[in-house]
Amino acid sequence: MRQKKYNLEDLDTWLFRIRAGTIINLTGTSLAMRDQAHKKIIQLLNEDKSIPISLHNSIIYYVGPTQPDKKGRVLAAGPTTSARMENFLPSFLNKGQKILIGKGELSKSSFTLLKKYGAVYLVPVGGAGAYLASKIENMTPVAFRELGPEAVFQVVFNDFPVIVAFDTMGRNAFEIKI
Amino acid sequence: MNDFRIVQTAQIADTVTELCIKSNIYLRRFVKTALLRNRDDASNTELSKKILNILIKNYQLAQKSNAPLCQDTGVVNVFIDIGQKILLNGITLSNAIDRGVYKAYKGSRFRMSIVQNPLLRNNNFKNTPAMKYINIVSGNKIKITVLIKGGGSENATRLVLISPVSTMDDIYDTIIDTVKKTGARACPPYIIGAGIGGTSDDAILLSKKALFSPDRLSDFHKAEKARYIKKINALNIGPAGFGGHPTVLDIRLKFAPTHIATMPVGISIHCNSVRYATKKI
Repeated sequence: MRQKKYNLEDLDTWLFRIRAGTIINLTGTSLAMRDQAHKKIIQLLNEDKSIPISLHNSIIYYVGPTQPDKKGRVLAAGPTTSARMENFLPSFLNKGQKILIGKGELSKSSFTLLKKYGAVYLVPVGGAGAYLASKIENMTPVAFRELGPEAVFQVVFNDFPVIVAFDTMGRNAFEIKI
Repeated sequence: MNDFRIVQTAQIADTVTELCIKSNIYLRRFVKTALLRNRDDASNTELSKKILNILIKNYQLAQKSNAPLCQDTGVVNVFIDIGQKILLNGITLSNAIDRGVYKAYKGSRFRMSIVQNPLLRNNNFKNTPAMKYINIVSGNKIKITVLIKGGGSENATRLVLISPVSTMDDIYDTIIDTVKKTGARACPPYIIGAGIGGTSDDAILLSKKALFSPDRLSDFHKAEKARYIKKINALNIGPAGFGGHPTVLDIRLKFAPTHIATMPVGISIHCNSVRYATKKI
């Protein structure tokens, strides 16, 4: 499989070029978090308190990995269902999130919002936890450690394959099926 | 009186540990065959073939490196049939099962996915309690089946109480409707379990059991089922939701006696990892 490789450090240079329905490989650093961490961050924002991470130009992978070892290596780390994070999406996009990585369809209103903010939705193959973990160098908890697998992690990808589900031109791979 | 026997609950705990590990790591052969067949099918879409190829690389890597197939190592469902000529000795059966689960999940670095209080959402870092279904049966053997069920699958579960004059077509239509509503959110290709009859709670349980012990169908009903599998695949959801095939690998049914005024239909949507393992002791 020869997929185009993309570095997350300079996503501004290629975000507008990737096309829905293709597979690309990601290398670089991202955040990972799920329902509880999103809820905590929104609560902090609502109370005008500081949040433990920066959302500007952020990439968020919706995942709860298996237990990391001392080097941060995990045995399996595939995506969780993105639809559960939809209620948080408006605030996070507003604060600068540029990429969401997860699985499953999103609602029409979420797609409209993504287009408005020039953000994209990338989908790793759901269920391929072990294979996807082999494309992750390490995962380190950076906030809300007490949540265990639901903590906020820093993720280092190395040739991590994802399907472009929704691109900046508004093309939706869940609908255009070739 | 001489075929009564004593079984240490510690042995049950060890068996549960073994089955938790086995079911999380090793993919069942019929799924491997189906994934390979669909990947190599020229009529499939290019993207779908690539997705299936990733699922194939996944199971190969999982078994080679003792990694779980999926990071959602889920809730452990333990179905245990105990012969009534058995005397259990040691810690309680329930504690033994939970200890077995914890040992597997801690030792194999699986995910601790259970929160103690559903509102406080405090992870208990034990992945217990296991869901335990204990049956006393005849004989002096113990049969243990472990079924792993993840959150995506669980969130797609549906209970519908349809009219008591409903036909099998109506039941299949309910299944199709459930798959439509789920889309790709539970990791297709799917294996669907359906429980028909019983009381409402039983229908859901039957839909779980249908996965590993479905009722035998007549040739007529097998053909009917094949038609409906075709219909669901025609929805074109496809692996990961981007079209192509398959959307569903199988539909497994289980029926039970029910009240004259009811037709409960429980539907469980399982991901293609179909994680279950059985052992007799």
